Amino acid sequence: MRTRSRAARIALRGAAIAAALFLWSACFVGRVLAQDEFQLEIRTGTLTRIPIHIESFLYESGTSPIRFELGETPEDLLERDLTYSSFFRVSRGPMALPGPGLQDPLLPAGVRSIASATIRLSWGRILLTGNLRDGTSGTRIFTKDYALGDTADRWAVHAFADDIVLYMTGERGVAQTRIAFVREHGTTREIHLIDYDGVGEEQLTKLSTLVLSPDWAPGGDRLAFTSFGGGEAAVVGLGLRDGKYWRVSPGGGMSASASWSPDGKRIAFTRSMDGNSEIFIADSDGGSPARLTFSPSIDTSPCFSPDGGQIAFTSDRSGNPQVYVMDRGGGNVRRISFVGKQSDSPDWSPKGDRIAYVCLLDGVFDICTMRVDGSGVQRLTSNEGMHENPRWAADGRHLVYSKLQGGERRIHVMASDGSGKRVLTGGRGGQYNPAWSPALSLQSVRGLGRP
Amino acid sequence: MSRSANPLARFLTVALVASLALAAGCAKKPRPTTDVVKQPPVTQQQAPAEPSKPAEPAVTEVVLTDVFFDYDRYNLREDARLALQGNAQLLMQKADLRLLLEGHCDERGTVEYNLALGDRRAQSVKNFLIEFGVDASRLRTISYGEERPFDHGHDEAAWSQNRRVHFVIQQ
Repeated sequence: MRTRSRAARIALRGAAIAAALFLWSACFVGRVLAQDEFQLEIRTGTLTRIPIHIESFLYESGTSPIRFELGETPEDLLERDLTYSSFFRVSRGPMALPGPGLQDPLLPAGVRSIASATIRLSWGRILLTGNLRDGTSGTRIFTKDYALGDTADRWAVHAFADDIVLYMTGERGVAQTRIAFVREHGTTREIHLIDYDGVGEEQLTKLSTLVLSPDWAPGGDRLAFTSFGGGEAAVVGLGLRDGKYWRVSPGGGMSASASWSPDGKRIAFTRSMDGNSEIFIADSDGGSPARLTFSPSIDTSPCFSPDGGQIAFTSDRSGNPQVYVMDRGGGNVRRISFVGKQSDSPDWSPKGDRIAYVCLLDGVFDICTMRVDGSGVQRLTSNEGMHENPRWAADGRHLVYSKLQGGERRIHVMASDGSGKRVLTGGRGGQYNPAWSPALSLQSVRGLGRP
Repeated sequence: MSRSANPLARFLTVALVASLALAAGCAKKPRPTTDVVKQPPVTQQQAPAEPSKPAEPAVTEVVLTDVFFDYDRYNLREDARLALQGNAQLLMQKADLRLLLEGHCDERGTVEYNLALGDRRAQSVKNFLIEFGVDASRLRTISYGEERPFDHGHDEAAWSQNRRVHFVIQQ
């Protein structure tokens, strides 16, 4: 009896251990499954929009109606800028009668603010005096002069639009930005610039070699990119004011894929001496290069977190390209992408909360975003074509990317919820590798392509 | 130009002018214009032996086959090893040849990743040739990523031709 009960106790203990083992393994399986089941969400058009009304602009005597490219009026451009900002739902109407408290009976209900402007002459200059007032009380929110210049520059309207965004939302708009991208010129590639709305394209580099992967310095006054000018790929910097080039990456081996640190002092890039690409960091003038990754696999496409403390990058150390994050010194490397067979080309949002990247889902290359821990994956494109190289605008509400469809590769933009997709570029030779500039002043944006 | 077809490789034909200085501009690589037809592998293309006549330009044909890779891979396939053995034997015989190994990718994947991948492919080929006995100092690598496709199409037929290491003879 005694021995039986002892045997039973042993059997019981064995069963308990087995059960514990089973629970432990089930728990493990559960964790693996949870990893595979990271939420995937397809988004389009979820940003809320503020109703805003634009009145026809008033032209004072001595001024004549302004028409931009394709016959666009300043009001058309302002409407397009405000809609593009993804903050507003825009209505249009005639000029309201002067006088306090008067309300346009045609004004749509719920309009929060009304934008108007006067085009006038002042000391020989054409000014656009922009005005924003409250939609219900009619109280003035702001009035500001914007110089239109001799050629009725669109930048004045862009500046007005960005001020409206700032006053209404507290956030900086991106109407005064440009996009750098790569355009094919036969067998060579050059960097071109285009306004954020697809106007005013100009060729920036004339290096007659392969020039790839531009990245803006945070101040918008310099670019770094990959250039084959020295025979093999190297990271090269270009000052936009003086037009001077300098080499960033050390000699010997291939270097590419530059990314500026948020303080503008350092550049991360990938460098390969012997067929093994590793992430390096150097001063923006090329000084003090240091290696950050030590892996026998491909490590490339570094990008900084907005606080500069971390670097996201692509590595195939798991067997396929996936997105990893490390501290800026190279420590604490962890994989963050678990949805999709491949994840590549990360770009950290300016607010720091999400990472945009290329996701290979169902055999299709799409643009996705995820939280920085890899959760909350949102697929922003799911239509035909191959999508690549998503890059955030400074407002964190827009993304630019390239899309190959029907044999043609073009630059596209969209809001960060996947709405408002539109193509920015066209013409002969593919266009890809876009990078969205920070806010640029009018003086710094014209004629950069001049030799 | 050679119109030989091979399932593993296209052929680069380089006319080597022995004993006379090469004309400038012969670095430009000729490319076959014909489509590749699937056929059993040809192990080696041997140039006809030229008698040594210093006074006259003697032409020797050296044919080095491209080697091809699977998508997102840089390991050498069996067909690639066969082709490389042929290339390596030729290189052992022509000890004066210096080579640029160009790594290429198809257009899928990003520009940056493909630059790294093409670099890996070129390095895989370089390592194979070194193990075979080719002096490392004769071999240089470069990656063009996806920027120099052989076939500008957008399907697997084109992509399989673009995932390659291409040999350029440098003299």
